Amino acid sequence: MEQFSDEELAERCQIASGSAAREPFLNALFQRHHRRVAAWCHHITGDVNSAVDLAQEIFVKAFQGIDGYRKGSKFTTWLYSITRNHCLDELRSRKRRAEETAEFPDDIRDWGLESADTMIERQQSGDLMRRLIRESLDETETRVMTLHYVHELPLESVSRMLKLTNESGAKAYIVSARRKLKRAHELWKSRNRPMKGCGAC
Amino acid sequence: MLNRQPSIDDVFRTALAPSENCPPIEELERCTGGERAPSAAVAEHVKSCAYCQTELHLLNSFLADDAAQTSDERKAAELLLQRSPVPPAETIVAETRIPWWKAAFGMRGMTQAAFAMAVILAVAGIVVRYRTTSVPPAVNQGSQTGQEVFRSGSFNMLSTTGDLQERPKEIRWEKVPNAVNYQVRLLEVDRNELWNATTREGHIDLPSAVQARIVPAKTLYWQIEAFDSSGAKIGATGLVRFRLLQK
Repeated sequence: MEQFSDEELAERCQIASGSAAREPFLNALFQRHHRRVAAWCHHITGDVNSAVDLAQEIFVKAFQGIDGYRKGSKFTTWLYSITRNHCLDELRSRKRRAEETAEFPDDIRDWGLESADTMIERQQSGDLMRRLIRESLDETETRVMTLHYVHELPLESVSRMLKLTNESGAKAYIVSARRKLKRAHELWKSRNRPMKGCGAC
Repeated sequence: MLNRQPSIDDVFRTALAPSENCPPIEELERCTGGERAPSAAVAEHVKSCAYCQTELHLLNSFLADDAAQTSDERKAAELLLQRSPVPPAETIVAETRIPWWKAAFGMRGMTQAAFAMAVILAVAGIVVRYRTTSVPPAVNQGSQTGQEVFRSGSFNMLSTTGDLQERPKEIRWEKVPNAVNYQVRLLEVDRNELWNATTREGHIDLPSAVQARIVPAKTLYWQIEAFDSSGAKIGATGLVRFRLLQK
């Protein structure tokens, strides 16, 4: 099987769809990629047994849906998107079971953004914040913020996922990012004070 | 309706969320340095988009993670290897489907007395079958209009339902009169079939490959259907939920 690329193996699985002839190809794909899926699931769960369960579900899902793989992209990208989506779904369902409490006490009033209560104002404050993030945060802070606020990953999962080795992990990056953004926002406000009607002021 | 005051977290969420310009993952893959380069528009967008940069980082780390780094990751990979979740292309055939003649003649030390008994039973069976098929059954004297529809009945599982403490090794169900075959199916919640088998008994042993698929905290379903000698379905359990509890 070594002579075949991942994409060729996947294609052979599709040709042999529904017959036992596809099993060696599936096995070869499993052998090649089980470590990366197991590692990824461990980043998400932080627990060996849950990671194995999750990884097993991912492979079952991937192999049952292998006919849906399209040749244009890499097999690993396709497997990644199944892994990512399945893990995020799992985390969301866990979060529903145990809501994480907010760990950062400052609220919107501390930022002077409380007037952003219409759709347009929120959009404007979002645009402004996007710019401040781009200009003020480093790559790791940006990733930590995205994983925590958009994907709603718990901080310990973010730490494992980004392989953060500092003592307080992702939390330290969030504290630092929020501090930087607040400072940048204050600076922006002092420069743009005369502007009226801006939802972000 | 009350309008909730947005929190600063909502502002972060809005600022970091994907936009309509964010490319799909297949496009983003081109930014990982493969043979095909991304289009200029995609490359430009990714440079300034926090969401796409994060996605790209995750994809790159997935592609690079082909060797488990920590001892726990290695352990997870080893355990996963033992489970081998490659689904069988064909359904696993239960041991109970070995032809009767093969089983009978394969037995060693079968005594003449047992053989004679088998012959007597076979003759008796033929006689009984001849009698029952030659005389039409009077099912319900009061309503023989020729239009009756005989509906298949339901029957119950006798084991392996609800929340389980131990991984099951066999399952049992009520036997259905006139049933000569039972088809057993193990299904996931989205009705994906994990296994099926056919047996003549009111129970079946679960092969170890099937037991391995019954993992803690995962809800699964049994579905058993009973068939008569003509192959007609005469009963079914419906979907019966069960789950192995996490220890």
